[in-house]
Formats: sequence, structure tokens, C-alpha cells
Amino acid sequence: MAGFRLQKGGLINRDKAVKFTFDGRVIEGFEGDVASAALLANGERIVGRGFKYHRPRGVMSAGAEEGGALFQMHDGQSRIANVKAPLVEIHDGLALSGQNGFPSVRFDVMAINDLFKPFLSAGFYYKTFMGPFSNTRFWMFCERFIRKAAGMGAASKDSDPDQYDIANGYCDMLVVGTGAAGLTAAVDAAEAGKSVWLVDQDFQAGGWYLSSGDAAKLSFVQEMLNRFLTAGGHLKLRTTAFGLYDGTVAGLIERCTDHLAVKPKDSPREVFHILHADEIVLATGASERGIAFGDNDRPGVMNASAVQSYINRYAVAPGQRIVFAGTHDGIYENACAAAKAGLHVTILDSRAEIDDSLTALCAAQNIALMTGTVPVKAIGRSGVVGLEYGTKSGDVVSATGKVIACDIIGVSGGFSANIQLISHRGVKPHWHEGALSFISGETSEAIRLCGAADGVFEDDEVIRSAKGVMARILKKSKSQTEDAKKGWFNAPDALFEVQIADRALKSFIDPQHDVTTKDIRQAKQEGFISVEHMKRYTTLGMATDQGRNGNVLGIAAMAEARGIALPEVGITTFRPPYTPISIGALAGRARGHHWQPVRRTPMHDCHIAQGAPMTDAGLWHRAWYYPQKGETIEQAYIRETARTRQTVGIVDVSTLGKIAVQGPDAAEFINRIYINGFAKLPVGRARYGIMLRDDGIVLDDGTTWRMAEDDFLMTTTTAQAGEVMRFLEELRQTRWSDLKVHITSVTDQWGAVAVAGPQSRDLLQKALPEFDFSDEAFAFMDVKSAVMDVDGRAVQMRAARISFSGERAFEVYIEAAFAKSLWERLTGLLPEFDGVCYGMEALGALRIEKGHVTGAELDGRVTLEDAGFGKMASTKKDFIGNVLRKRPHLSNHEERQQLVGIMPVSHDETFRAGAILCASDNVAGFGDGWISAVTHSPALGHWIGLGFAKSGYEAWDGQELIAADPVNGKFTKVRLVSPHMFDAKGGRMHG
Amino acid sequence: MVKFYSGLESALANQQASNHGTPDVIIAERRDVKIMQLSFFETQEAAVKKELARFGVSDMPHFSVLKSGRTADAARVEMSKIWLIADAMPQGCDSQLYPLDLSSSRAVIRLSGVKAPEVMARICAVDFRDKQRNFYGANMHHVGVHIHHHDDIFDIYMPRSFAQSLTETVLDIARQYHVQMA
Repeated sequence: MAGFRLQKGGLINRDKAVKFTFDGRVIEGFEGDVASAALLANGERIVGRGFKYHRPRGVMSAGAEEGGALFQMHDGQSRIANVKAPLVEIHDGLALSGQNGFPSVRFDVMAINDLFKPFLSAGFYYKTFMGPFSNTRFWMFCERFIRKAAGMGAASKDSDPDQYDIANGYCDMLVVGTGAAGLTAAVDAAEAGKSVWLVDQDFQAGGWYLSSGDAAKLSFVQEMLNRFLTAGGHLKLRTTAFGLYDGTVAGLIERCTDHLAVKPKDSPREVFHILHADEIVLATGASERGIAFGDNDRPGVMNASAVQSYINRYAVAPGQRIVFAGTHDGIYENACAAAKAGLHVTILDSRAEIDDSLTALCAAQNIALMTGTVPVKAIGRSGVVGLEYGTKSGDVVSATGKVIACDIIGVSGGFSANIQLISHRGVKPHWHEGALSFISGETSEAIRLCGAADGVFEDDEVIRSAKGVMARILKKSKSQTEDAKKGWFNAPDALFEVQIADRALKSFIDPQHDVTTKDIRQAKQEGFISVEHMKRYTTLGMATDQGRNGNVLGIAAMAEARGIALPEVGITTFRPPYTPISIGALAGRARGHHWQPVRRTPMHDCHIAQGAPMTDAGLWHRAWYYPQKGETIEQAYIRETARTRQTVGIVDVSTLGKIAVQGPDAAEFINRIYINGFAKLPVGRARYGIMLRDDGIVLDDGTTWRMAEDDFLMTTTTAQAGEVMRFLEELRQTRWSDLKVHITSVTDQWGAVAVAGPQSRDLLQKALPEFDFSDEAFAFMDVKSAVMDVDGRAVQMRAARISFSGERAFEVYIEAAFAKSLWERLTGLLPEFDGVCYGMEALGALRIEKGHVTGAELDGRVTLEDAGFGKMASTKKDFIGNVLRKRPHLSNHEERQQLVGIMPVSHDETFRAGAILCASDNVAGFGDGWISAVTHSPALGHWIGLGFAKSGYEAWDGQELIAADPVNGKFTKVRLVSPHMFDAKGGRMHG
Repeated sequence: MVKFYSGLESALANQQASNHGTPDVIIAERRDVKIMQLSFFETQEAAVKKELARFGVSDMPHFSVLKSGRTADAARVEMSKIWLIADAMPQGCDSQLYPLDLSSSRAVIRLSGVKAPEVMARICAVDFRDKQRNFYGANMHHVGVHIHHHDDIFDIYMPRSFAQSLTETVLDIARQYHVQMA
């Protein structure tokens, strides 16, 4: 077994064993283990495969930078791809599988790709599938095979079974990271009385201190946490800050249930926190980077600090003979941890000279130390068995041909400050020579960095850095704001790649995307020298680690190839998310039943009880039709339409927009909006009006009721209610602020029922004796109010004699809380009058017969004249849209398409809405018009439609057109008529 | 024969919620709340104060503030609009203030319990730490609502037509805690 569990130490709970599966094999670990630790403890070396060459990969890190151990978690609906093993807490029932290997990552037939590496270098797709001998068809043929061979795991094609929440949070300060710097900053802020959120993607607080193996540091973590919580701080673990946005808003993903063997039924899997913080402190630490040397992707090559993490935090020895190869003092701490665990340890330090204390430390810990020495090539295919090393003198590396036997190579070429989050704010990073890292520039926003995230790598300086940041935020005295020293006390070596003259090495810099230093040089040769071009040509940094491992190595390789300094190459832009996040978390509850809110009328339950199928009208649910036993929709709406014309029908029209316009200038306000006059509308009367947009296009229509001299009730169409309300508010607040007007939406205050048909008056009179519905008392366009005494309560009602159906009709409004009772009272009386309830479909049939327009016609392109309302426009006053409606291309009525009625030449034929109207000798192109609405007309006995045709119906008098529906292969001969196809003179309406 | 319907009957009926133990979230409907809107212009503040005094409200509330009175609460929902909120319909309001009955236009649910703030955070973006305000215009699932925050209780005034849908959403969110229907 290459790896093993140490007998003591670690932060795991040895009393609680945990079993999970990897590629179907049962793996044992302990509570507190992450998947990578448990796999190493069980001797699993090959846990992944490379993206292109399918070379075997092992665990390479202990954090979000993991480039080798990427798994699929669970299966079926719950399958999640590309999870990073060091971030997966194990629990009973967890099922992991390797990805990108067939049949498995242990034995992968696609590993043959490694032999074709010379053909699969950077730019392979561009060169192979573009050019004179390639074409789209060739790519389409190859694509399926390439996609199967490449890729980074497969997401489930089923809908996500989990629930997610989006939560809004507010605090004085957000601190990201619970390492020494983050804890220090958070405690200072919380104890200063600030409300503080402290978040970490880990499931334990402490950052690097958790891997220190130092009891004092672990005590420090515990003490700081206690102080933080005592001071009222808000700690969120398993929470990743994935993005920073305008206004110091942070996006956080909290993982709530992934670590649980038994998921609580109603708990969300993840919560997406939108956190509004007044200040943000980023203590996000740094990511260790490797060194590019030969075959440095072999299982067993990992970050030096990861070796220490597995030993000290998880009590797992990744190997037994470990070589640490590095460029700075940090590897000595890593090596000591391994030595203390009883492992055989060698250090290769690229620096020729080191501090005497380090030499003494190695001697004391029985660590073999080789200075001025660098790794050249990892030996072993399925796992490291040795390391060929070389010597380094100045910048020149020479091969020695010597090999150290080992099973783990811990590599560290330094650390890259985790500046991704601050980069989301557009802050340009710059190279710091002391830290050998890009660090953040200054920002005017209330965002600060401290600790390793700011390039401060020495322990004591990290805490000083946090103290300094907090002193500035809390405005403490100047002595407390002294800057911490960035980088290391002893200078590191700027070694990024080991190159041996006249010897080709496969030196990987991005193990996830299989990018090597050779690819970078090829990019340079082919002209992709900009860092952004290099990234896209080679895909360096485009995998799930987003360049944490390889960006600096790639930039260094490009700098060397171009013969310029590393900072001159620059760095690519970091964008959210910091680590991959679930799409489901971004959607939150807005899916399935909660996809969008639903509006219900006050009579909704009545319609359901009557068996009416509901249909969507925007967010509203409206009764579609009321089928009798065995009826189809067509039979039902034809019956409802016919019966309404014969006796009486009632329909729920509560969805109409209703706006109270009040104030001494209310009449003037309305008069300026509608195209027709409203200034002299008498109290107790209603008037039909049309309003335009500023650009002269029809916005909406409806009736407005004058309830008092200074009190109007404006109704709008269902579809445009919100837009009209918004427009009226804009006019009131910005353009006509001198008018004394109040506007209030009262759509929800009133339930409304339209009662139409020859017997509407009789039905209403019986149902509502509070009103006098006689012709003498209730003339066309009259408005009345009444108060009903209902069980001692005074219930307000309003009624108007208006008609959308073309019949004698009334609209009755009642306080919404009592509308259900009104509906029940009316429907209870319907049998006596042989009347019906009718739904949206019959409503459409009635209005199409009459040529009344709705949103289907007033679609944002139509002028007054197009819709046949030109004569309504006042010539005595101005109104919104009056100037721009006269633009030449809007007022060229002869050329514009105008509202028409449409009938089939043969009355037994049908046509569809959406069909194009074409001259019979030219069925092509966009035609001469279109059909907007179609219904069967019981009154006329055949199908009819409304639509628009060039120059209007009179221009086509005597001609046959074709209603062309090429999608359905249907071409119907039609003729155009007046849109008022039934009772054109309105005799029925006026009664 | 005629009965009062709040619109929440379907949302609150047959909900599976625990009624045992100490709940983290309690959801209740405040039925039949009366809302009378008064609208005014800058020159009418004295008239408004006089009107509010009739209901025992001591002073004009600032925007986004609800002040409690003897027989009604007064909430400033817009700079030029105040809602009088009471159990009985405020009578005899000054007609110069354009009294408008909005009682039927809103359904009101009350959230309380230690986890009520967590539920609220999951459905609307309001910083309830603000001690200067207690009556907020906000969006819940993109729907405009008003929220009265007092004593860790949230009274949510929802447009009646959306009330059932929004209440179902609130209930579904609250189920992750120990929720009780009152």
C-alpha cells in the first residue's frame, strides 16, 4: 500500500468510521476526512485521467486548486460532475466515480492518446478542422468522437431533484477566509461592535493552521472563534464567496446538505446568499504552485503543502519516501511534518545558499538536504517510484542522471495570492518580486486584503497584516497601521520551469487541460503572445481550477520565450465564479411550481369548482371555457358564445387593470393622455379611450369612469395594466409634476364580472336589486355606485353599462373580498335565464365578431389609423403621441396595413392566426398582411378572423386572397371585409 | 349568503405543517384588515395631521414608517400617501385627502418565530436592521408588497391576486424549519 493512515494525530474523528464508494469499491475513512484523504489512506493512487492524453492522475493538492482528483458525485438525477476530491466531505452513502476514463480511470483504453501527443498539441482543433481540406461536415462527423474522448465529466440530463434557496443578507463587514488573518480581522471587527459575517469554503475554520500540527495554533483558532461568536459574529462554513459585485455585494454559496448521509427533507441543498456588506476583508490565502519539470503530472506528484495537510489534518501519509522540491523556506515546515510522522524525507532546495537555521532544522529532523538541486523528471507511470534530479547554478540547470527513490514528490515553486475576488471588481494585479506573486492593486471600494491573499506569507506578518487592515478600517492610531512585510523573510528562488539543454521534457503546467510548457512556446511561435491569446489558444487556466496551478508558470514560460520580464506578459482577467457553482443555486426557488408567481382572480376557486380549465393570461390564470359533459373546447366555446348572444352570459373580468386617478387636476391629466376628450366627461358617465405611446403607436385602450369631479376609475387591458400604470406615474412625476393628481392601482381591490346578452338587465336586476338597471335609469355608458348591506357590512359596488361583446352588457365591480359571493349569486340565477358562464375562448369569439381589438392586434406596431381609430383623435387638444404619430411613415395610411375582417371564401374552410395574407397571384415573402385572431362565429355560422392588410379591406374589394400557412401546409382562399362583422351598427349593444 | 374571502383560503388549507413543539416559524393570516388610503399634496400636511390625530396617531410618519395610534396605525407608503390600518374601517375621513378603500386589495400574513427573519431573507431583499424604518415597500418573487417589521414579527401586505401564490412560496421556504400554522 503506497499510502496509509497514521496511528495518531489529525483532526478526524476516529470513533466514527465512514464508508463510501469510489468506482464501485468501498472505501473506508473517518468523520472529518475529505475524499482525497480517505483515498490516499486506502492507497488509491490513480484517481483521474488527463483531459487530452488520458495520462493517469493522482491527488495533487488539498484544496480548490485540485487538478487530478476530479470526480463525479452520485448518479442519475443527482449526478454532479467535476467535484474536487479535497473539497468533498465523506459520509456514509457517498458515491464517487472517476471521470474521463473508459472503462475506468485505473485502466483507460483512451490512454493511447498519449502516443499521439505530437498531433494533439495547442491549436489542434483549429488546425485540423479549419482550412482548405476541412469543412463543417467533417467537423460534425468528428465532433461526436472527440467529445466522447475529451471532456471533464458528464452532468445529469435529468432535472435537478434538489431544492435551492436564494437568501439576502446584510452586514457591516464580510470577512472571507478563516485562517489566521481572517480570524484576526473578524474578531477585531466583531469586538468593535460591527455585525460581521465570517465565511469559509472549508467545513472547519482555521485555514492553514488546521494543517500546522501545532497545538498552539489550533488553540489560537479555537480561542478566536469563541471570541468571534461571543461578540455576536455570524460564522458560515461550507460557504464559498464566489464573486464580488457592485456596491460591495458578495455572492456566496453555502452547501447545506452535501455532507450529510441523511438529507433533511425540506432543506435546500445549497443557499445562494446575496450579501450586502459595508466593508469586505479578503483573507483568502494563497494557492501553492508547482514547478514545471519532466512528467510532473504523475500520480504521486503533489503540492508540498498538501503533503503536510494530509499528514497533520487527516493523519494520512500520502507515501513513505517523500522528496520535497522547492524554492523557498516554506517547504521546510512541510518536510518537518513528514519527518515527524516517521517518513523518509529528502529536501531539494533550488537555492544554493540557505539560512543556517534551516540546515540545523534538517539535521535535527533527520532530513536529507540537497541545496542547489532541482527536480528534472518524475520516474514511474502509474505512480512515482523515483525522481531524477539535477543541479542548478545561477539560471543553468544540469542533469546529473541520478535518481532518488521515492513514492511522493512534494513540489513548491512558491505561492500565488488568491486575488480572484478582488479582480472581479476590475482591480489590476501587479507582480511583487518579494512574494513572487501577483498581488492586488489599490481599490477605492471598501474592499481590503490581508494575509497571504495580500502576498504576506510569514506567520507573524500574516496576523500583523490583518491587524493593520482592521486598524485602518476602525480608524485606530497610526502606530497600529504599519504595513506587514510581503513575501518571505529569506528570498525565494524565482524558478518556474526546469529545462535541460538538448533534452525534451513533458512539463505540465495545467494538469486539468493537459497544457505543457511546450504548448506555451508553440503559442508564442504561432503569434499568440498576448496573455489573453495564449490562454485561449492553449486553454491554459480555463479548467475548473481557473489557473490556480498553472497561470504563473505559463506566464513565466511565455516571458522566457519572448525574452521579456514576467510582469510584462501580464495576467489574464479573473471572473466569477471563484469555484464552480450549481446552476440550481442561481435559480433558487424560481422553478417548477414557483417558476413565476401566479395571479388569481377573486372568483378563481369558483371557476375551478365549475370544472373550467384555466389558461394563462400573462401571470393571471383565467377560466378558458366551462365544458359540459363530453364537450370539446370548440363545442364549449361555441355554445357559450351563442348562448350569450341568445340569452345572457357572465364572465370574470377581474383581470382588467384598474387605476384610481384622483385630485383636482385628474380630468386634465386624463385628457392629456387619451386621444379623445375627457375633460368634460360628466360625473356618472364612462367613455372609451385610446392612449398612445410617445412615439405615436397605440399603447392601450379601455374605459374610464368618472366617479366624482376629481375622482376617476381608469380601466386598462389585462396585458398592459402594468405598463400603463408605470407610464402614468412617469408622466405625473416627471413631465406634469405641476398637476395635482394621485394615481393608485386598484386592480386587486375590485372583483369584476361582465354580464352580457339580451337578458343581462333582467339577470342583474334580480341579482342586485340595489341598482336600477332599466334603460331609463341606466343608459349606455352610465356608471352607478351602490352599497350592499351584507350581514351588516356595507360592501361597495360599482356598475357601468359598457360592452366588449357587442351585446347589451354591464360590468359590475365589487370589493374583491366579496366577489366570490357575487359570482355565486349570479351563477345561481343563470339557469332561470338559460344563461351561461363563458371563458376566455368565448370572450375572444364575441369580440372578434364585433371587430374589437385586444393585445393580439395592439402589438406595439399599430397606429390609430391602422386600427381604425383615426377619427377618434381630437383635433382640439394635444395628447401624448400626437406629434410623432404624424411622422410620414406612420401617416402614410394607404401603404400601411390596416385592421380588416377575414372570411373564408368557402364557409366550410378554416385558417389559423399567424397566417400570412397574400395576393392570390403572389403567395411569397411577407405577403400583404397577416391574421391576428381567428374564431368560429356562431352568429355567422363559419370561421372568421381579424388581421391587418395593406391599405385596408376596401382596397381588396372583390378580390380573393390566400391565407398562407406554409408551416402547416395550409393555403385558404379568403376575402377581406369590414372588421365589424356582426351587428355593425351596434343595435344590440344599445338595446 | 355573502361572505368575506381573503384569497388565502386555498393556500392555507390542508398544509402539512407541524403543530407540535416550539415552532421556529409561525405563519398566520391577519384576516379582514381594513386599509384606508389618504393621499395629500405638500400643502395639506396640516390636514393630514389633523386627520391622523382623530385616530390617535401623534404625528405624521416619515416615509417607510408606521406609527401606531389609538384606533388605527398610520403607514407612510409613499411620500404623498398614508395607509390607515385598522380592524374597523376608518369612518368620516376628510374628502380632501381622497380616502380610498384598499382593504380588499391586500391579503396580510404574519410571520413570527426565531427563524422568521431567515424566511424573510429568502424571499425579499430588505435590510431589516434599519431602525429608522419599519414599513417597507419591497419585492417578493418580483411582486410588490409592503412589510411591517415590528418586534421580530413581519406583517406582509400582499396584492390579493398574488397572495395565494406568494404564501405558498413562503410556506415552502419555511418548511425547512419547524413551522406552525396559527
